Amino acid sequence: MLFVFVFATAIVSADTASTTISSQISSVITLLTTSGTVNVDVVPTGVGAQTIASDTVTVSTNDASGYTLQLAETGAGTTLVSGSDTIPASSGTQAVPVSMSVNTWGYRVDSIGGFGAGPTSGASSAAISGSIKFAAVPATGSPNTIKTTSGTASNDTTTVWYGVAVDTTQPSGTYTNSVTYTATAN
Amino acid sequence: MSNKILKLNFGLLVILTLLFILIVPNKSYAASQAITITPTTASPVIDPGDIYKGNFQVVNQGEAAFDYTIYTTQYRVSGQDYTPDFTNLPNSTTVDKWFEIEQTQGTIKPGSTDLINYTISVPVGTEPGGYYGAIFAQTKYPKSDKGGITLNQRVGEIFYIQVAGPVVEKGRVLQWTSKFLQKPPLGATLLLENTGGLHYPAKINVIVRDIFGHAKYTLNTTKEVLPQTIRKVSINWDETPSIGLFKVTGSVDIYGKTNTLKTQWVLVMSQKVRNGLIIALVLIVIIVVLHWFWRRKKRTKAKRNA
Repeated sequence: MLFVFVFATAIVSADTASTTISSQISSVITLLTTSGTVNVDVVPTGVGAQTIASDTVTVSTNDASGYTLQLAETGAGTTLVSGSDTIPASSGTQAVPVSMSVNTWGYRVDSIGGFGAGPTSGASSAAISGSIKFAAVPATGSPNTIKTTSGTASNDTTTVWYGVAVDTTQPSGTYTNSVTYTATAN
Repeated sequence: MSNKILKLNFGLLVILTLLFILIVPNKSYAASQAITITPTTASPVIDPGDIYKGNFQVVNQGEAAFDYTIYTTQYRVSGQDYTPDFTNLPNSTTVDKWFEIEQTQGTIKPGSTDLINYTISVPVGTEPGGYYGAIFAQTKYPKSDKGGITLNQRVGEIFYIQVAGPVVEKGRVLQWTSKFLQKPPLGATLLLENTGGLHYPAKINVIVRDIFGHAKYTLNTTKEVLPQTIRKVSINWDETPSIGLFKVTGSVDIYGKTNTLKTQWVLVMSQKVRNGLIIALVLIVIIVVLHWFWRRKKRTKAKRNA
């Protein structure tokens, strides 16, 4: 008897396939302010009173080049306006800021330009400071750089202080102005 | 009696609660306003006479809805610090006019995203080379009737447009410096020059090592260098210790060619360390002088005794 063993060879084959997972992360830049308006209300005195209030600007970006933050007037004017009455801008510049004269307004950012380290703190209808200096918000076509970074940023803050100094020769009223912060990747 | 006390206590609690609600001032919080644009840059290559279609997104990540406008500007830089300048000069190539934007204003609710399409049309006959512009999304907050300073924000996407065709591409590392003796933070400066007609991305790699060869700080970044400009890149190691000797090396890739930066040695000493060393030096000098006088006195005395 011949036994024939037939081994049926089971051929097992397997196919493999690979899938590539791809994810593109877009570059973004976000500019945030804590409120839409900074109120710098002043109760004037005969010799002049000053109010200083702040705005916190927050920038986030995943662009590895970092960002530049600039400040300028939104429109053509540089004065605080209430009908036909105006409060002119400070005569100081970011490079050479000045102590506020009565009936002027301006901005400052600690530790940039000629502003000095401060620290600046809020004031409400107080005596005009001789040591805290301010500059005029620049015209819309000539913004000032108030911060530059070199890498990604997550909720990176810059505090911008606004000051108004008036005496009783300034007519009462609701004075307004509009400024624009610009954030772009480097 | 106990019921009366309970009723009295309950009544007192109600009165106090009402008083709290009425008297304690409510602090109202102004809603945050956040505008986002994505992407932050674009680098299309377009033939003269051709068009390019693209899009970007405006996102409201704040807590309040806002109106916004979209517009284009030219883009140039000022100085080696590359201060951005978005003013439209009347006599320069009006790149901003090449853009056609599908939507130039809108209102966006918190948490929403608007997709904005645009087309760039390069005029026929435009010389090959680099042309630069920006698209901005800007909030349009009305001035408050209560006075004050209204704050608007704008974020921009910068366009590095290459109009295709033969163009001179020329760039180099102009300068690489780092002072030997520094106070923290350790800093180095790189100047990149572009004498061609087209922007180039400079890929920069810098490593700071201690004397044992351990890498303490690494910078990998890419900077666009516009034609006919010099761009300063400042390298700063914010976590530099108050004292140490460090080796700074690196390279810059320009047009596919790697430029190795010369090794710089930097001795870091903070002002406190310097003051401490000066004091120590003065003390040593005093001790040496006193010792010299003491020995001299001893010799004189010995001679007299002899």
